[in-house]
Amino acid sequence: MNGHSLEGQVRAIREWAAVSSLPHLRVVRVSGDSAWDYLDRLLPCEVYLREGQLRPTLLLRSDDTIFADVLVGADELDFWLVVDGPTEEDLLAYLDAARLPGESVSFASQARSHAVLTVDGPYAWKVLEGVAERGIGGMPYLSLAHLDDGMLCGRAGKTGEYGYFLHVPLDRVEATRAKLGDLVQAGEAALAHCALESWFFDIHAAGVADLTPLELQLQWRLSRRKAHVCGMAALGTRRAAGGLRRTVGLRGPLGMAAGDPLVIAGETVGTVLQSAPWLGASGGSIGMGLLPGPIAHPGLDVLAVPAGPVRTVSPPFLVNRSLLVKPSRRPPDPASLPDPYA
Amino acid sequence: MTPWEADLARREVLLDEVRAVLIDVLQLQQEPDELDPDAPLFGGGLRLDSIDALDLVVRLEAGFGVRVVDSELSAATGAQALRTLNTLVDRLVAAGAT
Repeated sequence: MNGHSLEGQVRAIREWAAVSSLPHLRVVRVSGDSAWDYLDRLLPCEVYLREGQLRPTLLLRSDDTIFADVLVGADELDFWLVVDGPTEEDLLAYLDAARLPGESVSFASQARSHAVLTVDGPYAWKVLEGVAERGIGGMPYLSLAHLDDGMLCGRAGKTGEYGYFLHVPLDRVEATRAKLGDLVQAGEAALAHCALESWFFDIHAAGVADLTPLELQLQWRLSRRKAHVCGMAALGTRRAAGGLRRTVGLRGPLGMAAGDPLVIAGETVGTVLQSAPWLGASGGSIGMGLLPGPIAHPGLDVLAVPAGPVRTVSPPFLVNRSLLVKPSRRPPDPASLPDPYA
Repeated sequence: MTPWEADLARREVLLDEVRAVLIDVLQLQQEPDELDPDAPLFGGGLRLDSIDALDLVVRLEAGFGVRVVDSELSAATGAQALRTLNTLVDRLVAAGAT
């Protein structure tokens, strides 16, 4: 079902499930005898992965800014990269630059043979029962499974709810969408809104383009052992230099906008990186700000943006219903669950 | 020092103490400053599981002399307290930890 407002799309993700088409998500299969060694050299995270395991990581530029948001996964024979951010051409050039001459590794973009659909929401696993014979509800977070009809399914997501991506052969896309039934279709703006509410990194947010994993609190996606990987030396130098800024959650009774200065007693101390209206009854807005490390803590209530006061808070901004819905138990009536925006 | 600067300084101390407990309980290899305060504790973040969470809560409650999770909290509030280092510190502050 199409044509829902942004709020309608977001509420569908928060309360039941919504489907999205993500043509900008790049899926690359990495194969060959040297695939593991190649990925160990390419990625700034550890690549010791169990079969069927996914791990979030990043690709960095040499100056330690973020080139791509990445999930790396392992299956029986190959590795998979699910990549958000760069164009296909830029991604393949980056991957090629890390390959040694004569190295036995190949990477194949799936863009001309497959499409990516995502289903997000506290009942996404239930919706997907119509697509796969095997139980999607039993998939652990950050896992990968091959489904029928040549589909690959990963449980990941960036909304804070149960989230699955389906890597679907092009000739199966319409049939797969039909099996999903009359789901609300969520666009990229709705997914970005949910990512901010649940504090997931959104590489498409304009405010984060020149920031590093240190400022964006993404160190958990890296391994300090990987000093040889592109960008990690610069990151180590930046960390050692100290004086770092850090992202903070923001809430205000009025509006705020990306680029707004964050001010204390007339002095600009930081910037708003991202913002969105708060969909709860109290209204106002939420955001991500960037502040100097010593004051980048929740509870700071002397900040202001041009529209009015804001305070720093601990994200995520809401209690996801998915925390309260367990596929292994009898699913609660959605009407009995608390309002995520209460 | 202004009142808000004092509040942030107190919070920084609590955050560092929680980081130290986390490193000890999970026997992490990371330095404290590698544990970002808003990074997820479960799932893809620091990859805690329910046993780790129980160990962490027991250690924090013993160390700070407060209840981090108790039966008066709703399931949602209890779950929210364990999402990140900062939400844990929020909970410690709310419970009266100093």
